[in-house]
Amino acid sequence: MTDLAIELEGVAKAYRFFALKDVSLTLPCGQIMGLVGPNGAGKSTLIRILMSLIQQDHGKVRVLGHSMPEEQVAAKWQVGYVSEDMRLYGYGTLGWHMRFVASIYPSWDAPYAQTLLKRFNLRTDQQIRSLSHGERAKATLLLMLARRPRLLLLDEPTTGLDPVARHEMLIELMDVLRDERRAILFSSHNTQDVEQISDQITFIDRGRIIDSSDKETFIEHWRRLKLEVPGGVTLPTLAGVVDLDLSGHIATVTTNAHSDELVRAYVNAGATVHEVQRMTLEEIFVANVMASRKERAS
Amino acid sequence: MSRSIVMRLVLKDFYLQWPVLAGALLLGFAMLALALFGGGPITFYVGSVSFLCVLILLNVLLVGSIVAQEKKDRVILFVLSLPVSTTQYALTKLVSSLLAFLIPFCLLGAAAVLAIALTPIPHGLIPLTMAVMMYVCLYFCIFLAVALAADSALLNTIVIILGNVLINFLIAWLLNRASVALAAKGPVAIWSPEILTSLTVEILGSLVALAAALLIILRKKDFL
Repeated sequence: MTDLAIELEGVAKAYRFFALKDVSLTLPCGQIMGLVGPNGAGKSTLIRILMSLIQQDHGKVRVLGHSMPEEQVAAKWQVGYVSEDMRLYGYGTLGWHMRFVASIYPSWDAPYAQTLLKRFNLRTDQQIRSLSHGERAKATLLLMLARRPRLLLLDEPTTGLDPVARHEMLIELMDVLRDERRAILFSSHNTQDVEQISDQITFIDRGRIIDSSDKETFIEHWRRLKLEVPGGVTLPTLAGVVDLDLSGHIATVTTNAHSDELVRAYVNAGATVHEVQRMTLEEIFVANVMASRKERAS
Repeated sequence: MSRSIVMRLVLKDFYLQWPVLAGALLLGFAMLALALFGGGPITFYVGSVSFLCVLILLNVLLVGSIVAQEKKDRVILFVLSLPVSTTQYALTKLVSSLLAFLIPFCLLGAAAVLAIALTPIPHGLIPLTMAVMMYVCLYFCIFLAVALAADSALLNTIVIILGNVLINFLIAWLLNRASVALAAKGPVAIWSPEILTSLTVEILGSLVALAAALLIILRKKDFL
């Protein structure tokens, strides 16, 4: 038994036009991690490596204590995986899919499956091809949740869903965490979804992890400062400033290490601090990505 | 436990393919009956060509839906979310496609040979029938190997086109051999060197294609 649901150490995977580089990450049991990144950042590649759908070129991957890809079958018994582009058999009914999955998993929870059917307003006799995108996504989630997996790997599960379907899905995912041994890795480029349910957030861009921390740390440490900089005043270079945009006498400073000392340092240099703004997760994400790209370019 | 899941996956493929299998058997027997009991050379020609078309269609539909379509539609992600390894998944595809093809293929082939043997139709047709049918088997094995090894609609299309075109060359080549053409009209089945050569090439070719597919599956790391 391990306390870590996911362990990645120096994981790399190279394609012709894209590479996942030196990814190291851990997710403790009982936590929800939001994996946030723009399109093509490597979120799906990372999750597919965790599921052994593709194999890493380098690095160690452990899922629920099982070394991947060698022990993928043992790990998959306890892992539920859903991705935005996953499809079910179009001519099969939802009932047929439920019987098929139930015949494989002794852990299949039939009463819970019935509860989810009602909650998601799905019918077992409906062919999958006749379901809407939202219904299909909910059907896939039902088939995964009723197995009662210990780890859920969700690759952009809310993409393309209407707000109601998205809300239903997120509520269900939060419900899963009532069992504190379970963990969720949830990838999305929708920061609202991630902010709503995640304990930990990892930002990924162009195949690299650019930041990873708990949600509160991000929210507490990131700020945007509006300064007035009189003529002749030079702003000091301070640690934790990821962006400084000077336009005339007005400067906008973005920091990932907000503190009273930082504000004082600007005041002492002769600037006037007009505003200290909290940043939304989306703003933090964009600032983080842009800062990381700038750093790599220089 | 994992072995029983592999079995369930094979059965699942059979369940999903039963309309294709039933349709192929029904149409195959109907075309055979038309060819052998139609009473004239035109019905014989139409029936036997349609019989071949049914076998080729069965080949294309089975590999297309069991292997290629599942990848294209991303149903593969659902199946691979189950406790099977990627290698087991690919082996499942190999086994279920092979069984789903060979069962109706053998039934229809046996029916064709039996029907020729038990009717006044020249028994000399049996070797030619077998050589042409084994070509379809070779075509199936190569198509299956390509579909399993490469995720390429273009390659699949090339194999289908080549497979459909080359059967005409095989029939023309065999019928241009005097020994084969004459023997086909005779009352006794004669296994001429040309027939034996084509049967040997087709059987060996099928085995090599399957072995290559197996080798590629075992070495393959990524399935998406």
